[in-house]
Amino acid sequence: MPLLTLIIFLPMIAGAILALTMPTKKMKHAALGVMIVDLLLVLYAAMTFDWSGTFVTEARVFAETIATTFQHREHLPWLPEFGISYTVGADNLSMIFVILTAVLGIIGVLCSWTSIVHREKEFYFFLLALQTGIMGTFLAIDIFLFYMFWELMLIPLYFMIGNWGSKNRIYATMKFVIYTMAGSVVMLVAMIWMYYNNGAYNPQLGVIEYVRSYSYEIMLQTQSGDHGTFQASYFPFLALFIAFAIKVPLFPLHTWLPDAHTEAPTAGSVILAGILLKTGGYAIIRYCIPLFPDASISFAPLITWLSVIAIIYGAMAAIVQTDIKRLVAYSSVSHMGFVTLGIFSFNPAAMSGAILQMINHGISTSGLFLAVGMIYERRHTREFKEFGGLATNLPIFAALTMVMVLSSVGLPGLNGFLGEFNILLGSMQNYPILMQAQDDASWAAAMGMTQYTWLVALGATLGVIFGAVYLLIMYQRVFFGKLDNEKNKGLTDLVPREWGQLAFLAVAALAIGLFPKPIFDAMAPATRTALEPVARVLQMEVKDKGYELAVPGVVIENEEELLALGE
Amino acid sequence: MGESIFEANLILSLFLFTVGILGVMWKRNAISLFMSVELMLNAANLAFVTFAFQHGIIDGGILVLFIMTVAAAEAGVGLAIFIALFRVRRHLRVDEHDMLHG
Amino acid sequence: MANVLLILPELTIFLAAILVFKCLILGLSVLHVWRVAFAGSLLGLGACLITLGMTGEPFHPGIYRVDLFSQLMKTVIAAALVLVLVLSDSPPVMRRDAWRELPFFLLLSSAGLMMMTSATELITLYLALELSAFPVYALIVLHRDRRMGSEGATKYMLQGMVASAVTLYGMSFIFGLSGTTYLSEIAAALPELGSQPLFWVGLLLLLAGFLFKLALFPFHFWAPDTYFSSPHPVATFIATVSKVAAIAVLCRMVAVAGWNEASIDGETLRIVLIVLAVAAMTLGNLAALVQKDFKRLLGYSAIAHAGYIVVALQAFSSLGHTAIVFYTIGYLAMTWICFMVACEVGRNRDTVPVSALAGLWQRSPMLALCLLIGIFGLTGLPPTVGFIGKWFLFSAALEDGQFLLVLIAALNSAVAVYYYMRVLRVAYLLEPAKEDTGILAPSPLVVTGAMVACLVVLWMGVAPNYFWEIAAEAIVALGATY
Repeated sequence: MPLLTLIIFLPMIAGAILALTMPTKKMKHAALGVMIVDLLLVLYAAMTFDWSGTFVTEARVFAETIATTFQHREHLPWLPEFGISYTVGADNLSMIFVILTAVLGIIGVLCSWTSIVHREKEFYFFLLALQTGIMGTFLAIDIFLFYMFWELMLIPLYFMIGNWGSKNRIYATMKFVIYTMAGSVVMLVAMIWMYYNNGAYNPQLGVIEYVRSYSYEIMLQTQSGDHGTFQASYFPFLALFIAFAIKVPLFPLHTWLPDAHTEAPTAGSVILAGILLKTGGYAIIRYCIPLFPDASISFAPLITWLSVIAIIYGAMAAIVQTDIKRLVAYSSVSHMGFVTLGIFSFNPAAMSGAILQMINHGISTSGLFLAVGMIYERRHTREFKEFGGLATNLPIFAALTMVMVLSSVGLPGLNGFLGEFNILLGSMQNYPILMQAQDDASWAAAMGMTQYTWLVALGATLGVIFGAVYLLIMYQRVFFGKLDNEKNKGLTDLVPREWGQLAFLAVAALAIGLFPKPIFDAMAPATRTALEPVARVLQMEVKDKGYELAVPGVVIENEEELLALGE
Repeated sequence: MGESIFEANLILSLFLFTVGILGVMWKRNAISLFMSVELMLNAANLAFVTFAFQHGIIDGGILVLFIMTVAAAEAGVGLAIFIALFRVRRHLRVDEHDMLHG
Repeated sequence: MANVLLILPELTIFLAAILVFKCLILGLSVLHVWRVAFAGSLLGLGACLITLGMTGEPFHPGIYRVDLFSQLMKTVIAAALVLVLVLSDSPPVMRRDAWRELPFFLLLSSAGLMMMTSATELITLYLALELSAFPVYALIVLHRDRRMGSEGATKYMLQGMVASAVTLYGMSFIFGLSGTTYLSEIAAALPELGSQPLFWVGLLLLLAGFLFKLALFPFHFWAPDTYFSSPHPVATFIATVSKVAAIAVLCRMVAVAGWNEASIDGETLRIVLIVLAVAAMTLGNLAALVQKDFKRLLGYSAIAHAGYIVVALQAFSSLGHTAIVFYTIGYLAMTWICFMVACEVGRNRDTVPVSALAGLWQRSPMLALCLLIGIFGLTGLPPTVGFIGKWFLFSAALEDGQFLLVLIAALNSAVAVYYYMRVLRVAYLLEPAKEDTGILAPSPLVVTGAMVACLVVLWMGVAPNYFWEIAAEAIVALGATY
């Protein structure tokens, strides 16, 4: 059974059929049904999935037979002349995000239940089409296919924000589309470039043997070698990274995000924050790091600094916002800064922290956007000064939002803490260990910022503190104090549909916070796969300089320590 | 005929072509522009005839006949369009196309 | 008899033109004239399909070549002609007394364009070029707004004449150096010709007339003005049908000059083409950003697309040529869709400002959907042919190592997103203006044409294999000739 294909295309195709046949009033029920079926399919796929990370099988890519770690794999030659195929498959990394996507898809429908009143059919069609684009992005393992899905995500979101957004929506959509497209066209060039320069050095013959294919599996086997050149690694790395960093978004490419978030309808914000930003982080872990370990190491200092700036800048910007939704949007910039920081620390603890941070952000920020949406639906404003003392007449709402805020702040016991803690731990740990091998001055210079590790850690920690400041201030201003605004007195508390969504996310946050072992177990193979090429290159470089790594194999082999942390 | 005649012809042709191109660039009256284009066509004609003699084949000469015919047709269509333009505008200065601002 | 069969497409279109002329003389009504022309163009399309697999030389050897490449291009031209005629069945913005003459000129020009794709001899090529150009000059002047029509026609004609004069002068160089007007003999003499700089200068000048039709920098000035000032169906014709023939001739010429020719002077030609492509893309896209008129915007976008096509042309490779043929088919469908919307929205308008598209999704969801597909195609978003076609074009240039050029092209297409999305924004996100809230109901014929075109755009985008194979075979046929 083509399980993954079904998971990817079911939402869009069913959405198109439903939009043409269903009466307008029933569309949301139908859309919910489709999302639930999609989730069931995903759960079935997850249950039949081998999470141990030891799965290897023989698979065909066109005429070749290769070893692959991807499961539920489907391969269909599409344009064989160009090495383009329809190949989808899942590994631990993509499976985690696919589950997140399926869950948030349902919440996306539920939170639009009453807030979308005009052109419902189109709205739910776009929501379902967006789901297809995102699922495809996570599951494609042919980079051409990946690019198609990547672009497909853009179109429904453009219309969702443009049609159902708030008053400044047109400016926001244009900004969003242009930023994203600018990134993706450069990515397009890089992908074609990779196709023509994709090869492995053959030491016997002394030449590079080119393999022309867009298949990620083939690229993984050939490209992760010794290309320390602009041509073979720096340019494609940078081009891909910029495209992904715009999605993440990394400072200074983040400016589209606050606008898009603020203007988007609640479902748009939830999907945008919950899943779309993750495609950026996912793609960096999937493509940038394993395919270009050399370039990743060279650019790591720069990216680390940008991440630290993003963390602090996002937090500072959030403090001064007067619009609740904008505040949450800037908090996204800050939180996603942790993700890139964690990824580019090249350390298992930080890497799994980064993946977890993405999941956490998907849960807590989506929850916050839901909460903002619920307030907005009642009061049609999001300004701080309009609120105060809501805890008196909306107790359930206040309690559930509190969980979301605390999860976002990073309170121990909730999910947010584990992600940020692991990232901080990993990023501090990584560089000192390498330092011991670095008497060689030029090697130290190549790593750029190693001397300033404490600054990075300090900056990131400051970000955590600021995060607590602005989120708690927001909570205090909205929910505590006197209920003095007349308009707020008549507000009704949440209906079951509403608190159901928030409660679900709150339970998820609590569950991850208290029982993190399963999720760390699930992430461990993904972390190892992503870091292996980098570790190989690092070890080789250190060996070339005549040193041994201070703690041999530290970069890939301290999973026990990591697991201990999780428990 | 000797080599020098060919060369002189070609230089003259180049000269005519240059005059035509410069005319196209500098003139602003539709009729002057048209005349400049005719100069360019004639430069091509001269070159073709010269080369035809040089190679001793007739193709160049045939092409010249065609070019002259086409140029006549061009003049027919062109002048008709100019008359239409003149009727609505009472002048033929092409830099004053006020409706087309591209 | 076999020879007649080989030139069946041109012959059919030509005879249809004469028949239409006869009908005009007899004073038949507009509708009858149109019906005759439409039937003729359909027959022409059928004739193209019949001759699609044929190869041969119907006339004196070396003058006129019928092969898969030429027949494919003719099929595309005939199909585009049918689509343009579909748009001309209800009154276009032309002078009342003149619009029944529209089909005649379109047929005549198409016959010339078809000859261009097959011509393999300089005289034939020149005559075909002029035959295709004159009827269009005459059509523009028949605009309802006399002033706009005559100004547009003057501009277009003068520039067209300059371009063809330059082409002729280039031909004289090549004739002088090689002593022949046959392309096959020129190709045979290329090893010695290729070392002479003058040959490459001549070739470049020769290409001018066709680059003009393609609207490549520096022969691009006419495109926005002419699109703007022509009656809508005529603008559609100029933007679609005549582009195909120009591309066909460019492909043939470059094939003659040799793929992968390593001569140093050939490199110079390439560098010139690269410079022209970069200039065209940049200028077209930047100028399009500020346009307020939809057709004018499409004119600038055409200049940019001419640049994208030359990006692949300069690779001088069979991959590049195949990509061009493939992209041309898709580009034609996308452009036609956009112009179809312009025609329908501009039924009662002399010009189609972008603001006239406001609220299109309310006035006609069908047109809005078509516009979406067409604009997505031009932008280069999947799953349309615009995306995969651009992917092929860029691949061809990158195969050749033209990294910087492709990067510039890609950045250009990112700039282009802004103005394309602006069109969609107006059509989908704004409310209709007060004066045009009426429902737009395109005729069934237009709807059918639009469905076919949209289908082509999507089909080529999702499953390009079939079209790619045909294009590749056509290019193999072209390459085998020289």
